[in-house]
Amino acid sequence: MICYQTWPLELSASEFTVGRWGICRLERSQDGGAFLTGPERERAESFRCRLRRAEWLGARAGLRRMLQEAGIAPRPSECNITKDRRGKPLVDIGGAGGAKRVDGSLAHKDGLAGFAAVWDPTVKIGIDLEAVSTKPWRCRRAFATRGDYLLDSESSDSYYCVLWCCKEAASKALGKGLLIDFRELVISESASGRFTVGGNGRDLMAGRYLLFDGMVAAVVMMSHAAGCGRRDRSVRTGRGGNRGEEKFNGA
Amino acid sequence: MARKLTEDDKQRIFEEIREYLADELEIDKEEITRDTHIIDDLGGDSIIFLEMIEEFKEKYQINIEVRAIGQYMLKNPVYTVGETVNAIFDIIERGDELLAGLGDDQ
Repeated sequence: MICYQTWPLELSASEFTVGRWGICRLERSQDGGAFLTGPERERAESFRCRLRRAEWLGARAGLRRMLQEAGIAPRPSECNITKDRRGKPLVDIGGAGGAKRVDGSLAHKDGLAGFAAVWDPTVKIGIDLEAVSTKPWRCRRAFATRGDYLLDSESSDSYYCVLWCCKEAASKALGKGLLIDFRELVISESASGRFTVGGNGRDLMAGRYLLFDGMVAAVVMMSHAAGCGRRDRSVRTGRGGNRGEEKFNGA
Repeated sequence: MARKLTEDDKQRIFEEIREYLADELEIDKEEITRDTHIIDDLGGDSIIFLEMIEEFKEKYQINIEVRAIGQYMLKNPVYTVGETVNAIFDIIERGDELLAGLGDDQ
């Protein structure tokens, strides 16, 4: 396994760690060792897309390795990963229906796998990965609004790609998938790579994003118990920044 | 605006979807059949679905929210090209009435 890296997840009120997120790339689909189960390898073998096979296995191997390193799931074989009917991963520690369930999220793009988990039961998590391209710009009307705010972007492609990635991660944290009006999720970047998600009376969420090698990774946490329920208006007073219509004539 | 599609319309839409996926995912069109899984076999993702929906909405002047389509997909899971084609037929033919009878599931 190469390119394995994880980061702690902190909530702003007291900055205590509630989970972790990470990114990895499997060099070969045979990699992953003890972090993958037989049925998972069997399922992945049915995928015709080689990259997709590596992504699918990589996300699961990365998640188990991260949970082991965090001391949440010391034995990877006892970490069971399934999905609910909306595609939200269910991570049971101690086998199916085991003693502990953590909230997890998986993502994939271009052979890269993203994974995130929180072990505070009051927190939900979502992660997304995107390649910077013209696609998000082309369908910006489906998700971007004038209220969205990013501090800086090199181009309209990266602006809309970051925006889409943040909103999809938020939708995953909510467990909604496409069952959401993405224009109701308003992104406000308050410091480089740190943003909040709010709007329409929804709970405020906290997020992070990374831009690297033509890719974007975004992760969003939603909590009802750690000071994330209030809307921080100060993020609106930041200097400079980009709103879609102002700089890129979009949305 | 809802409309009734003819068999010719449906065949044309199927070909449009194949061409779109072949172009976007850089795959030979002939490799794409109704049974092809868009994510697992072609390496597609959610932005592909979103863009395809937006293109067909514009082309056929359909006034429907992505959220409503998401609700439809919850009841009618869309994984393969054939399932996608059928969903697009439904969206075009039923338009705003797409959700009638599905019940609320949000």
